[in-house]
Amino acid sequence: MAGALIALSHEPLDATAVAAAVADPEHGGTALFVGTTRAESGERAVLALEYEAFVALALAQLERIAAAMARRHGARTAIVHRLGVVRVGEPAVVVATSARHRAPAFAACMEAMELLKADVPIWKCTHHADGTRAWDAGAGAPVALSAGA
Amino acid sequence: MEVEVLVFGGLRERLGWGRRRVALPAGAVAGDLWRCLDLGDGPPAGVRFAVGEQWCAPGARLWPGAAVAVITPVSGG
Repeated sequence: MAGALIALSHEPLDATAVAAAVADPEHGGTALFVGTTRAESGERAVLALEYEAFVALALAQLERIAAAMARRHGARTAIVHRLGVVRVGEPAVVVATSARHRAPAFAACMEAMELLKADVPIWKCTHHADGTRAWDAGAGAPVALSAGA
Repeated sequence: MEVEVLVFGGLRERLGWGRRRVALPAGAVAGDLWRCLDLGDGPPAGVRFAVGEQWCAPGARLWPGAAVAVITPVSGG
């Protein structure tokens, strides 16, 4: 099952549209995660986050995550991640999952987000309020997404 | 042989370029890129490689014209 909606976008994200993409009359539960730029990081004031991706591989990885959620949880999955500068309060990533019941919908949403953070080639640079900027060292441990996973 | 190397994020800024043709000895593997780019003896833990849309092991043999991405630890989300 291909992802219901898989995209990288330089434009502001519409969480409602991402949730609508996983609508299914057979699915009674929908989970929605919206990751938003926080005003602080490590006790330092933040102005914005900036995201960069290896687009071809990132899209392929997001599709693999959606396929894994279909296999593991019977879920439909939509994932949209921002690229470029994302100011405080703006969504940087939206993940929506739907499944027959709430438990697999929640599980798929959490799992898809964890896989995204570990295994999708997207990098984040923090723009601090003091004018400095720094690339996140990345804490994600690689997670195998084999065909049978 | 020459391969096309792609780098991103902090590594792109450190090197000052995002895409470049790099000469490698015949028989080179993906992990050899780290030393060829003067980044150290070998890729540290957490650094991965990809050719096209597929991950490849550091020991994967490269070929002339291959487009190889050096993937430092990711930080999306």
